Amino acid sequence: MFAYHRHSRKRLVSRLLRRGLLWAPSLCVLATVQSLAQASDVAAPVSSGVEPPAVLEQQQPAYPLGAADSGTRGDVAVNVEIDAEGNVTGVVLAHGVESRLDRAALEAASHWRFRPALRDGVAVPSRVQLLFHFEPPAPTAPQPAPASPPKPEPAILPAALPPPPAPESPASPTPVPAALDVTVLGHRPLASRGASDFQLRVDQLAEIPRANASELLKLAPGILLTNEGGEGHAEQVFMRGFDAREGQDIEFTVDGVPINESGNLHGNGYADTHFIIPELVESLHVVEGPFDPRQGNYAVAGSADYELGLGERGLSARYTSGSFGTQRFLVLWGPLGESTHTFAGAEIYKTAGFGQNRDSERGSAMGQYEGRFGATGSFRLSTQAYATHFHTAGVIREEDYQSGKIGLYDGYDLSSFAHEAVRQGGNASRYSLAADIESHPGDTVLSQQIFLIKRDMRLIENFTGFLLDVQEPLQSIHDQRGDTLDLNVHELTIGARGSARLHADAFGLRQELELGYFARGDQANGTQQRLEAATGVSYKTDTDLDSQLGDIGLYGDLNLRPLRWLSLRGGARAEIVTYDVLNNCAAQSVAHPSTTNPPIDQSCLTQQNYGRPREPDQVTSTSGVAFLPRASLIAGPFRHLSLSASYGKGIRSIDPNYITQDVQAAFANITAYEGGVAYAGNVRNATVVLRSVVFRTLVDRDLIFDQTVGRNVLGVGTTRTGWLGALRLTGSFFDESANLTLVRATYNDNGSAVAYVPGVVLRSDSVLFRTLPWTVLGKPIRTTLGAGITYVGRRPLPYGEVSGTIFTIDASASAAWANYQLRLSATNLLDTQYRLGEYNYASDFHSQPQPTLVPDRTFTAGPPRALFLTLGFNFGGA
Amino acid sequence: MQRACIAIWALSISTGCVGQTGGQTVDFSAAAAGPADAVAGQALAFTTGAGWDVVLTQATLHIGAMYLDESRPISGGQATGCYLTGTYVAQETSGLDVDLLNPGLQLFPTKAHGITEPTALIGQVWLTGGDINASTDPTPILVVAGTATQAGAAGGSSFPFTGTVTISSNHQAASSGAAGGDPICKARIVTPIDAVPIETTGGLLLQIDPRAYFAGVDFSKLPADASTGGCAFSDDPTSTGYLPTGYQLYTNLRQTAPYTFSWTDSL
Repeated sequence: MFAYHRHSRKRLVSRLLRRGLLWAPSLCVLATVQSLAQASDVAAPVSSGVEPPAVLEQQQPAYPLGAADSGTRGDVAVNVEIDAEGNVTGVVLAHGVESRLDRAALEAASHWRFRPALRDGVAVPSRVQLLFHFEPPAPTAPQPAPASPPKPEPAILPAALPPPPAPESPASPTPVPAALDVTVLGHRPLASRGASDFQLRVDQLAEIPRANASELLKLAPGILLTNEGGEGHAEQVFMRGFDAREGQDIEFTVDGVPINESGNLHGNGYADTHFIIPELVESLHVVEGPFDPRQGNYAVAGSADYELGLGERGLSARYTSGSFGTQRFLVLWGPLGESTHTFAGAEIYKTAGFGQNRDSERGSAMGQYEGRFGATGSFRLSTQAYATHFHTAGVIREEDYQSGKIGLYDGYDLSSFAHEAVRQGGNASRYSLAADIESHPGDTVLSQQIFLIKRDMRLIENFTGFLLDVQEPLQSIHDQRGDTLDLNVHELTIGARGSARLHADAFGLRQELELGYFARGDQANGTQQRLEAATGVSYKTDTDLDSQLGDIGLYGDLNLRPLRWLSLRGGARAEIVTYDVLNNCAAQSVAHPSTTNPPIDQSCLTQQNYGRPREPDQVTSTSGVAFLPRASLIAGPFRHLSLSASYGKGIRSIDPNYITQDVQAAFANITAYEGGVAYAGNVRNATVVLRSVVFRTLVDRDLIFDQTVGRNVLGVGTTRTGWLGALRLTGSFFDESANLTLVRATYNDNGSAVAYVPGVVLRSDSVLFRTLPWTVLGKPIRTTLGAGITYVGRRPLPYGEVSGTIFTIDASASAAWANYQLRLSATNLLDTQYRLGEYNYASDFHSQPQPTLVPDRTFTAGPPRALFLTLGFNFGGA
Repeated sequence: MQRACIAIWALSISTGCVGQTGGQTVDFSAAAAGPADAVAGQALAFTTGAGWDVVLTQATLHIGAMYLDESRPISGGQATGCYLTGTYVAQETSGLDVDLLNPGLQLFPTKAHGITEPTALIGQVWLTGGDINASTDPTPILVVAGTATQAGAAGGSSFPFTGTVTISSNHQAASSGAAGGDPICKARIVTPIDAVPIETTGGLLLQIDPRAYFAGVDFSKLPADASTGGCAFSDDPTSTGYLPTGYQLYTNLRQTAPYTFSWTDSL
């Protein structure tokens, strides 16, 4: 979302040189190394500044055999390039002594590992200089002639530098040997909005099995993902008590390019992230709550920006094969010498799916180039293509499952009693182009981005079976023909965003002001028809809309630091949303139809009461302007503790289906508050980030899922109140991310619970990594073990029912040697049978002699255990 | 005090406390029965409003399903649909042949299912042997037998009678096959019957009084039945003997008067 601020490159040395402070960096480096490091998954509440990399693993060069004769000694300086993951990507001799010593130093340096440099808590590539001192081994004293042959001298002696720590001991941040300069390259992160602002680096947690990019959201607290629509259907996201449906309450972006689809009939703001190749996600910036003036439409529960990058350079290829006929081919390319934000990737995936009617195929390709112009300017060009075709089993009635009429992983489409000629599922595609540029004239940062998105989608779903096709007056006599919904959406989006960030000094500290804008225009065509179960022929048109939508926002954001320990961040956003909607099926019923010319079976009527003629279509237009103040107060750190309080207002634009001419407010209003505390520091040899947040969010008109139309409909106001806690623990051989969210969501009119929202969500992602103590052909073997644990508490369902709980464990184990990697992963390791989505509404799938008309439990089954084996190799990397 | 408030608040949104969405979902027993003054195994004797003394020796009703709904039908007859508007709050979807001469509770084979909110307002009884929309259904819906004697006419003629009512193509309205006509499902559904609120204990009882089926029937007009030597209600609207008796019986069957829903703790 806000990643358009990236790519700013600050050459610390050059600036310091200009200011005659060449040697200051070395002092700064040493000083900051000895200070407590900030955790890399948090934009720490108040800190700003650079932290150099810290050594995690080092290898000392052996004094080369043969050089001892010459007695060569001296210091070899090696410049080491470090990527954002702490890996050494290049070594260059800065100052040599003798070729054999130089080679030994270069070889040793290439095996060092670091905790990467941080800038405002965000990992960035860096370059450090290592100094290796070589002393020849002491000559042995002459010995009398031995009675037996002398023992050979050790061929290799350690150099004079202190020995490295034991491999298994947690590596404490070892001070870097006398570095001459540190140059930190990276993008400028945004100022944190408080304890609910999560900058989530994937890093080692990429080892946790994840089916798609959406699952990376689980690194943020309070996230539950369900999906009743199949692998090509966007996930239903629950965040902090919000049922964001398929993203309608979360502003999703990928490097600032919008993902939410305005005008999508399935839900205004529908966000399908399946086009993102998970291996290309470098980090995720999640802000829970509308607290940043940059957040725009749909940021009700919050926002999530996928920041792309490929740390592993060279050409990588992976092939995965596993359960249910799953196969995946993935190719990634990160050219050496280019930024990690220059990459290309493509994947082809297919699966038969578990159970019935869950097959899926998709292809995705993403490419990006990051370049520089001038001394500090940068630009980026990105493109993306995605297409998928899939089927889905849909929902199952609990009663039918319990009575044995249908299996847990079956679907009604293939049953004998509710067979469908057209199976549920669909297809989708997305193509986009984007370009952004960032320049730094003086002390100002200017950025500009444009984007173009083409998106098409078809969804075929049936939530209610044979319930809704009620005989209407003057219709041809018919029985229940089936409730299969066939939704088609075609969208074209064009837009831009830009900003100017100004800096000035006041109160002896650096202050910032940013002014920016966002604009998007959407042309969306959406139709929804109902299909006859027996033939697949459409017999009714529910909706046919052509929408022209506009969304323009202006914002000002101030980052004020009156005191070194106090920050006030915030401002306001003004947003206008416009609608121009042509409803091609505006009249679907009439109270008093003509008796001489009855509409019979027309979906889109051409008559009014008593037969007065009309056109079937109607244009409606309206607009709405919202003023959205947002502010965060952050105090600290005090002994690594920071306190924050945030307030913000947000909007969610109304579905075009509900727009009436000149309706006053074309959006729902959101008001959010929160208070939190964060700790960032070191415990023993691990970096710890802890946070605790209390929050409350009010919505004046919420969305409630209506299964009869297959999407959310406007309802009454709601309130969410809750608490979240999050932990990120990173050490030399482990990475742990855990979070817990407790929330209650209620309707404002009667205090009853909002259905489907989980009150408890617990997630843990753990990875252990280690280089084995032995080598193969001189090359080390690096191993990882990963586990992801999810617990979701019981959820309230309509009509007083309560769902079951969800508890699953995903795990993986991998080994990497030379250019090759082998990984075994398992999802739902315990093979738990569970209901992923649970509902309680009326449906009738002809499973009983008479219709089932009363609300009853339905569910979508969670997937059983699946095993996958991945073979990968990388060539041309460092 | 502040800590206690925080603790209570935290507990209130902790694992063990799931918010309520309103109402409850319940499964309960459902039963049907004849009138309370009937005696099981014995004939039911009564006098109709038209002055006939009837001794009913057999009365069996086939119920395909029962439903309760939250809404009242729209007046003016605009809706010809068989489903009611609003939310259905109770259903019994298994069929039952009810002995209408037995006041005892006759349980439906499977449990009924319902929700306590919203409150049920009207009920439906589906008189069908299968698909409510099927154009043909040979299931005998009502089977009756007995003897009718003109009241007060000592030594008057008695009319032993039998009758079987089906709701099949025989009762398909002439225009029901065309747009705007009444679908056959409407012929099979008795509604609106006053409903009762669903509770968390007890069960639903449908009491049927077969005496109401014979309101206004002139037994002297019954056609003769050569096979029995008595009379028989005609089930064929196209036959000459259908009117008025067969029509009256069929019409009374589909009136709401014979049917009463109640909630009982006896189930």
